[in-house]
Amino acid sequence: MAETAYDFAVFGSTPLALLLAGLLAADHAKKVCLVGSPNSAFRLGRSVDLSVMPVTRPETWALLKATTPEVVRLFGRIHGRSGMQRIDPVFVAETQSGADALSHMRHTALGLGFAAERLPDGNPMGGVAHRLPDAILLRWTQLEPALGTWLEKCEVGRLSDEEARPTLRRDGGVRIEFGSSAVEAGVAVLADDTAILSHLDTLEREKTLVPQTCTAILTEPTRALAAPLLVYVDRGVTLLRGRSGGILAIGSGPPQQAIANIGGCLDGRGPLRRAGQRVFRSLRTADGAPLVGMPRGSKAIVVAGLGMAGAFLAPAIARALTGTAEGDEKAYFAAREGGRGNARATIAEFAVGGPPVEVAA
Amino acid sequence: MTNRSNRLAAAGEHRFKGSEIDRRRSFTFQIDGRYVTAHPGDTLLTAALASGVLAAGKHEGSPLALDERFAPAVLLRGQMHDRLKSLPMERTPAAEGLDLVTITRAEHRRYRQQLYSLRGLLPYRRQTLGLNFDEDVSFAGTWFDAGPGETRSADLVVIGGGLAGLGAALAAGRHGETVILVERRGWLGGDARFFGSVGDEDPPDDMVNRLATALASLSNVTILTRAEAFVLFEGNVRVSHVRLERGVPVNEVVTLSAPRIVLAAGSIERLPVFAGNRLPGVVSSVAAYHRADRYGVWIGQKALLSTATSVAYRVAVQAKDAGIAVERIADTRLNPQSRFVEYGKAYGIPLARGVLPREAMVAGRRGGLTVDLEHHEGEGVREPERFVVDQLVVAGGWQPDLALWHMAGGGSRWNAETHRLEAEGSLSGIALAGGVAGFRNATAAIESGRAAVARLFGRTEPAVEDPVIDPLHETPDAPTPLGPVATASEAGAYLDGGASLATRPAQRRAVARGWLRRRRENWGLADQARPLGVADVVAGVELGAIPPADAAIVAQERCVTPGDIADAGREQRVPRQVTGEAAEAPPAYLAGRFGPRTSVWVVEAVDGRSFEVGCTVHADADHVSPLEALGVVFAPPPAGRSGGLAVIGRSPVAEGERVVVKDISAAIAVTLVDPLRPVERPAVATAPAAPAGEQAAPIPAPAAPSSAEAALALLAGTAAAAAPPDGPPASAPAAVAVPPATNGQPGEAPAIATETPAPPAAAATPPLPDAVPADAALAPVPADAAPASVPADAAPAPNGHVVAPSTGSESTGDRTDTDRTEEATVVAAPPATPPASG
Repeated sequence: MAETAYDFAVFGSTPLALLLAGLLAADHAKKVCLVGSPNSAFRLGRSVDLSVMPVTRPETWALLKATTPEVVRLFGRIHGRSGMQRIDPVFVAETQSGADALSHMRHTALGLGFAAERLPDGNPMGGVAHRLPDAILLRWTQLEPALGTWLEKCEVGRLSDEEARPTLRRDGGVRIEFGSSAVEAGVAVLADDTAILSHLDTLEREKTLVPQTCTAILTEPTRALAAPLLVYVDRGVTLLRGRSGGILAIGSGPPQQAIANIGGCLDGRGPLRRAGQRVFRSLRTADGAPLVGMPRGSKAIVVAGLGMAGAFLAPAIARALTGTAEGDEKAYFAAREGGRGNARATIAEFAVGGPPVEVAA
Repeated sequence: MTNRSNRLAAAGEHRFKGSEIDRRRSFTFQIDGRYVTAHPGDTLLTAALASGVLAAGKHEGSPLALDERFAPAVLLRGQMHDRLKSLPMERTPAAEGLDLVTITRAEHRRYRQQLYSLRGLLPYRRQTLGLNFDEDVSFAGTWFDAGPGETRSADLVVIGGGLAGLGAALAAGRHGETVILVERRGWLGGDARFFGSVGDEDPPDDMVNRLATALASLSNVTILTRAEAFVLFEGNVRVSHVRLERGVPVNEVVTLSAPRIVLAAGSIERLPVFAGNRLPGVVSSVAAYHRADRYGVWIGQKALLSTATSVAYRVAVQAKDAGIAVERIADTRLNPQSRFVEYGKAYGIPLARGVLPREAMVAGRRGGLTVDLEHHEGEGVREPERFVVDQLVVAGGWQPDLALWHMAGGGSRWNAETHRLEAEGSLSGIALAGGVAGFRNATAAIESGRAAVARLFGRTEPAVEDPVIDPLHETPDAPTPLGPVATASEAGAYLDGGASLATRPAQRRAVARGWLRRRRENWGLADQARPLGVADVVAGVELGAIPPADAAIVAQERCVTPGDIADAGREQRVPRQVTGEAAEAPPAYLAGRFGPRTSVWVVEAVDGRSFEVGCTVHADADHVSPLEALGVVFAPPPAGRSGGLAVIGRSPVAEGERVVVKDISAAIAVTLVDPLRPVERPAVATAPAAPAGEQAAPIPAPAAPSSAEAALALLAGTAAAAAPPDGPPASAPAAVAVPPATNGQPGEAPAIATETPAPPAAAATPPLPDAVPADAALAPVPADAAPASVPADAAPAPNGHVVAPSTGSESTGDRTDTDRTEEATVVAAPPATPPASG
């Protein structure tokens, strides 16, 4: 059985996972194998990738401010401007606690140089709405193939989910068998929820991460939303107007609950029909804060809870994984490891969507 | 109305006279104010086609054919106020004097009633219903939005009135079970007449008649024709049933409830993918056959057949019998062998092999098509051949109609040999029969229906034989022809003939760097904002847009019931105003942000203004970055006060101390006026962990600390014991020492200089002498009361929610991705492909 040794094996198919694998190889000269299957061209999206998100910690905003230009430059080099879109997302709160969180978010973002504004009361979105102008949305359907080409240039080995049979080692490495061959990697990085749910032992995972059922709905074409991207933070609904006129709506909870929540946000525009529906499981950190490091009980690196701006943090994560992060960046990730000695309570974040709901068997 | 008639002559020896219509009588009705002539037995669609209305409207600049699989819903003029009463053109019998208007949602909103009648007078509207399919409208019938309607129960529901469905209904009926059979067309037998019989089988009509006669004698069997099942879920079938009520068509939605269901929905004829494949005049072979055979409808006098199957030759042969000039039978196969091929030769129809359609174009203003055929493999390089015809009949092979199967939760897999998505696995209470289960011959279809019933009722299943003729004598169907990628100037290349209108993207010309180059956009079926049909998905696989391994999951994801989601959310509308009270205590996401020792103060501005939640508190106006904040306003001020309620991290602080609050762009001087007494926090309730194997209980309403004291404990940043080191969060207090933390970075030097070193938390903090009741949380205390940090032991959770780790089962039971594929990837059999490098 032929074996190849890699420094890192990155598991995942999200923008963050692909970007992380490429950056580890390109910027840090690591041998990297990416295990994941591209699917953005034919599957409904599970999330949106945006350069801002409704978080309240200033250090998270500061990190985003530092890393976003790096990511934009990189994507611009890889695919040009067409892979990204500047939009003005709007975050909406329906409860006082949600409104307070968004107010904290806005003041923090403003204080760190981001643009943010509260929309007047009586706005068409309802509740209390805050707009963060000039955010960057990744058009992942366009970017994914280009990123694939870039990964090839970076000499990142690739295995599909279907062919890879990984075994996580106790030392944090991984052995991946495929066909009659196998590869080994010194560090396993589970870089998206699917990978974590698939490969991390349930007991290890549940100490830090809470699974939840989510539903993504694509609607038939309808008239434009009040903003190109709307996030209802209390009910955990994200609405994104697609290029073909439909709305991609992602809601937490099983279909019935998610559809009711989504439908409530789209009220007043007449009948609106489904064009597709995807039910999937995602993970949330128990404290709402990012988790980058080893969860308790595991030596594999887990990257979770980064929210919709995860891809824009990839350069910093790559530096943290290779030990080249310095200063505030180093401290940021040190505080967000999952080890037992870490005071994660001190980095708790506002979490969109309220308590997670998972559908049991 | 156009003068053009597309009705074949009744005279002569041929089969295409229209077995369903009575030519002795004719009448008229109106669609959008124009008169359409019909015979008794016609549907609204066949009458319109016969009268020369060939297009439904325009899509992306090209006319779109009116078709059995793509016809707009219509409303009786007197019922325009009730859109749920719309009628499907393809299933509604024509009746004298009807006054109908086509409906799409946008038009229903936009136009006043009287405008409809004017549209038909415009000359360019004569061959089209004039709808615009680029608008944000839904093409599915409005009955999809109707309520469940009347519910009828039976022991067995059979979906599909073809041979398999009839066989199933008869088998169950003879056992005394109550049966309801639904068939979308106006006749029984499905496509049996089109496919014909094999070997010594009886003629299909004889078989159908025998079964139908036997069923008619059974009082426990109900047959609903013109009834289309559009939802199949957990023993319920929702059906749109069109019937005549005193000469007026009515579309009622009925829910059929049965513990057992036979799905015998048959197969869909695939549409070859080439530019212009849905222009008016392009028709599938099975649709062309039924139109001509049942209704005597045929478009024009000159036809061309492009086929990947042998059975489609029958259409050409019988059309020639009916006096149609069949210019060519173009077979994509190189050397097809079949009795049908021999018939074609015997009729003197020119045959071409190894030929596939390249492009169809509108020939001129008076209709007709210009069709380019190109030779492919084995035929050498030749110039495309061009034909000008009235009708292009296309046959791209067959795909089992798994739409309802997928909707019910059924699995499927891609068969690389047959180029089909085939059903896989089983569903409780549902059995497949006939074409949807992969059976081909007439006798096998009937037997498969009987076997399905036996399986559902736990009886001994009869063996089903489905002989395959030796390929030497009957060449198998070829994969669906895929023409070259069209340019943007050409008509769309649709993946299927249904309502998705999904197209293969065209090549666009773009000028860049002075060179004319072709640029192809990345193609994403995920962007197609209409439900996809099974055949769309299969075409996506063949075009390389969907990996074969993912075809089934994509079909399940995209072949959905287009129910109204806005209606589902009516009870959960977003409120105009926020709900809930102002925060009593700082939220959990502020925990630790301002260090381990925090206190809550009323801050008042000199000018008496109040601050918005989120305004940060700073030592002076020169250091106003959020990263340098001493604290933050988290709530409005108490009644009768100005300023706000702020949590301050620097300790100790004294009443009267001056700090600044950053309010957007201004730094406002404020005074700390009232400290709130910090107390040892009560334990924060945690949701009980669900027993193993059970669902993690939904967490009740936010278990926010009910007092400022509780939150102060969280703010102290000592809640490292979100969970015990090796276990889930516990509700019992646990004294865990945590290093000082500032800005969420434990172990780092605090960014803000504190006057006293942060003490070790929890365990080292002496308990306060007097615990204050929760309801006394915000009571001001004397200025000399020392703020204190307090221990924390339970997980603070965002938004005040306490999140219990799941201890439940891994499976979700709701067909999540992970259940279906993602967790399965670990054990999936791997192909032997090495990584790209390394």
